[in-house]
Amino acid sequence: MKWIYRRAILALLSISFTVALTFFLIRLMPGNPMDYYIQILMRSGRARTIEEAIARAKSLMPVNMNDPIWKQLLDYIAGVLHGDLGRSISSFTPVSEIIVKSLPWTVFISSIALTLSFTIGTIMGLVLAYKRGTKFEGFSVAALTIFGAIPNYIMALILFYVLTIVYPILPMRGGYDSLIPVGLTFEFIVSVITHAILPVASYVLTDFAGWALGIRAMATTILGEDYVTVAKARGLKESRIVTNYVGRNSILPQFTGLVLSIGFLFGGSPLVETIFTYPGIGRFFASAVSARDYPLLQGLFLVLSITVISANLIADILYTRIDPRVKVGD
Amino acid sequence: MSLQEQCPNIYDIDNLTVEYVLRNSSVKAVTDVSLDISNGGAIGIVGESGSGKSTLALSLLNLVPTPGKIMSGKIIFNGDKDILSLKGEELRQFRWKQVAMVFQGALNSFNPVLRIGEQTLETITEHESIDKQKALDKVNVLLKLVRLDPERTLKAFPHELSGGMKQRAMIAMALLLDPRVLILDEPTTALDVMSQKYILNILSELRKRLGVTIMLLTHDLAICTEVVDRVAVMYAGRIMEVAKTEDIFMRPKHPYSLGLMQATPSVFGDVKKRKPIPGSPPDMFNVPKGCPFNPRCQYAIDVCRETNPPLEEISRDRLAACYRWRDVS
Amino acid sequence: MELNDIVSSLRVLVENKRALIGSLILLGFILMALFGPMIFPLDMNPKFNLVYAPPSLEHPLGCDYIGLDILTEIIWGARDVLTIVMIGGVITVVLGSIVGLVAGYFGGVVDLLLNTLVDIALTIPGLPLVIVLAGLIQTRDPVSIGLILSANAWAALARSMRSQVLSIKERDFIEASRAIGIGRLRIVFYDVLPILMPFVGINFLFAVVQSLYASVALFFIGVLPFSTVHWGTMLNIAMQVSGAIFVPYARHYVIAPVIFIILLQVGLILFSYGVEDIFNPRLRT
Repeated sequence: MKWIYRRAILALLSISFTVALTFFLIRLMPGNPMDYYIQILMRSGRARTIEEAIARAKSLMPVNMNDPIWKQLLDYIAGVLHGDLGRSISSFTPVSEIIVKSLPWTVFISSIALTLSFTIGTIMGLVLAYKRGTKFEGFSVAALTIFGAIPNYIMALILFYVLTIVYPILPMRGGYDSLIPVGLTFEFIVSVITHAILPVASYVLTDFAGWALGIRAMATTILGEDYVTVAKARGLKESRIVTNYVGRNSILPQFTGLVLSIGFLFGGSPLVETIFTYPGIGRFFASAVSARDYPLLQGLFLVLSITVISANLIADILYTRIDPRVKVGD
Repeated sequence: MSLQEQCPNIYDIDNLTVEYVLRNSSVKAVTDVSLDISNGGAIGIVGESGSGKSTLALSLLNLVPTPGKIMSGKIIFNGDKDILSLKGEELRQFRWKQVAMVFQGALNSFNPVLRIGEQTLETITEHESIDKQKALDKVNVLLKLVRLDPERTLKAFPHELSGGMKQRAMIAMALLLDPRVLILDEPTTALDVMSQKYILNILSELRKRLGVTIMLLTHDLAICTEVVDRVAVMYAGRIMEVAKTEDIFMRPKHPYSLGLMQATPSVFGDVKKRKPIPGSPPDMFNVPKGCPFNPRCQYAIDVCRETNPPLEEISRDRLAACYRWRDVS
Repeated sequence: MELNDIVSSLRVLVENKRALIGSLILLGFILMALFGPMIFPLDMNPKFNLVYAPPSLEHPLGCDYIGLDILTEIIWGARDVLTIVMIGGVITVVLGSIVGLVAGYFGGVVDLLLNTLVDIALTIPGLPLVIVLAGLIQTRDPVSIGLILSANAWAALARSMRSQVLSIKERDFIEASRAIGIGRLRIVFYDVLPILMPFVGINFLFAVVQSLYASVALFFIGVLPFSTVHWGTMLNIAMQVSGAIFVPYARHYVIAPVIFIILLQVGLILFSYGVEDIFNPRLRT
C-alpha cells in the first residue's frame, strides 16, 4: 500500500512541477507578453483602440501581469483549478473550451491506434517466434526493422501523399466531412471512421513493428523454457499452449511499455494531426506554437502533461494486479 | 486388465538414433539404442549428463525438441502403437494419458502465471470431459499421496512453492490420468536428502499400489537400488550394459559400469576403494571411433578402437556392449 | 582498446549482415556530409526555369520549388542533420550518464533527489515539451538545439545507467579502490564508467535515433527556422509553403527527403544491432 502513496505523491509532484514550468515558460519570451498580445490584437484588428487592446490582452492571460510574481503564480494555480486557462490569441476562445473540444478526437484515434498496434504486433511477434529460422521470418524481421525505423509523421506524409493525392481514396483533412451534420447518424459515423483511417494507420504501421519485435524476442526465449515442453508433454492443445503459456508469459514484460504508452495516448502526435488537419489536441498544439499563441500553448501543454501523468499513475497501479510475481514494493 | 493380459513389454525400442542438427555440425545424442522396458517393471537409465538419457526419454513421447531429429529406429508402445508415427490429436491424447514424464528440476516445469490448481485441472480437462468435482477429488487424493497439502498447493503460484514441493506436485500431476508409464528425469537432484527419501518412498509405493511402469533417469547409482529392478547404463548416446540391479552392482560386465561402481561410494562396495574413471567425458561433436569408451578403458584392445561393439545378450536377461566382457571384474 | 579488439569488432560488423548494411549506410552519410559540399557547390540563386524539374542526368534528384538541385540540397542538408543529431546524442548521453552515475554510486539523499527529478522528467510528454521549448527558445545554434532535443531523453538513460551502476557498485575491485582511499568521484569516473562504456555507446546510438526523430519533427513543423537545406525544412516547404505535395509533377521534391530520412534511421538502427553484437558476445549466433 505504501508504494501506491509514493507513486501518487510523485505524480502530484510532477504535476506541480509542470504547472510551475508552464507558468514560467511564458516568461522565457523576450520582452513582456502583454505588449506582445496588445500588438497582435491591434494588428489583427481585434481591438480598435489601445484601451480595448489592453483590456482584451488582460483577459487573455488568467493572470495579472503587473502583480508580484508570487501572486501571479497563486492566481494561476487558482485559475487552473477553476478551469480558467486564459484565452487563445488567434481565436479568442477560452483555452479550456478548445481543449474540451479537441481532446476526445485525439483520444479516439490514439486509443484505436494503440489497441491495433499492440494486438497486431503481439500476433505477429508470436507467429514469428514460432517460425524461427524460416525465410519468412528473416524477411519479416527485416521488413519490421524498416517499418519501425520510419518516424510516424513520415509515414503520415507517405500515406497522405499516396492515398489522398496520388490515389484520392481517403479524405484529406478533418475529423469528419463538414458537410454532414453532427449526430449519431450512419452517415456521420462512416465519415468519422474514414477520416480516422489514415491518422490511425500512420501510428499503427510504425508502432506495431516495435511491439512485434519485442514480443518475438521474448516468445523465442519462452519457447525454450521447460514449462512449455512440459505443457506439450502433458498433452495440452497447441492453441492453449500458445495463448496461456507462450502468449501470456511473452506479453507480461511488455506490459510496462504498454502502460506507459497508454499515458502518452493523450498527447497524440502534433505532426501527424497537422498533416491530416485532424481536430485533435496535437494539431492545436502545433498551430499554437507556430502562431506563438502562448496562452493556448501554455494551457494545452499543461493539460497534456496532467493527463499523461495521471494516466501513467493509473496504469502503473493496474500493472501490479496483472503480474502475480510482482509484489507491491518495487 | 491384468498384467498378464497385456503385452510383456510396454516399450520396445529398436535401433533408435536421434541427432541434433546444428548449423555447421551435428550431435548424435542417441545412437543405435535398442531396449525393452517390461510392463510393470522399474528400470533405471544411468549415465552422466550428455549421455543421451534425457533425449531417449523424450523420444518415448515423441517430444524431441528442434533441432533434434529422430533419424532412424522404431519405438513400439504396448506391442501395437508406433510412437514415432503418431501425429496431431492422436499424439496429443497419447501424451500424459499413457506415458507421463517428470522433467529434471521441476523448478521451471510450471507456468509461472497460472496457479497450480489451474494447471492441474486443465491437464485433466484437456484429455477427458469429466465432472469437475470428480476431477478435484482425484487431484486431492494424489496430492495427499505425495504428502502435499491440497488446499494450500492448489491455490499457490509456482514461485510460492519450494523446489521439493514443486517436484512432488509434478509427480502428482503426472499421475492424474493414470498413465501406464511414469518417466522421471533426475527426480532427486537438487533436493535435500529428506525430500529424496520421500520421493523414492513414494515411487515404490506407486509401483506397488498402481502397477505403474517406472523409468528412472539418473547419474546417481545409489537411488537405483531403492526403486528399480533393472539398470541400463548409457555412455555417449549408446547403451553399454543392461542387467538386473544387483548384477550391475555386484558383477558389472562392462568396463564403464565397473568404473562407475569403483568411482561411486555404493551401498555394496567398500568406500575406501574408490577410483575415478581416468580421462574426461567424450566430446559429443567428436565421438571416438569404435567404442566410445575406448580412450578411457583399461581393457581396450585394437578392435575396440576400430569397430563399435554391438549390444549382445551375454546371459539370461543381461546385455553388454563390450568385446572383453568376459575379462571384466 | 587494443588493435586486436578493434579488429575483432570490425569482423563482427562485417559478418553480421544487418550490421554491415547499417555501417555502410552510415559511412555513406558521413562521407556525404564531410566531402559532399566540396564536390557539389550550393548555389542559392533561384532558377525559375528549372522549377520542379524532373530527375535528369544533370539533376539526378530533380529540382525544387525555386529551381535548385535537390541532390545538392540533400548533401548539404546531411551536414546539418548529422551535426544536430550527433550533438543531441552527445548531450543526452552526457547528461544522462552523469546523473545516472552520481545517483547510482552516491546513493542516499543525492540518489533520492536525482531520482525524483528523473521521474518528473520522464512523465512529462517528450515531443510536446521539445516543441514548446523550441518554440520559446528560438535559436539557430546547433548546441542549443541539441540541448532542447535532449530535454526529455536524458532521463531514461539516467535511470538505466543508475541500475547498471547499482549492480557494479559492489564488485570487488571497486571495494578495493575504496579501501585504498580513492575519492568517490574518481572511482565513479575512472573505475565504474569504463566498464559501462559499451552500454553508453549503444545508448548514444539510441539517443541519436531519437534526436533524428525529434529534430526532423521540429523543422518539419516549422518551429525552428534553422536552415533551408535541412531535410525537415525541405519537407516543411514541400508541404506547407510551396504546396509541392499537392502537385503531381513535383513529387520528387517530397520523396527525396523522405527516402533519406528513412535511410538514415534504418542505417542507425542496423548499426546499433551490430554494436550490440560487438559488446555482447553471447548474442553472436
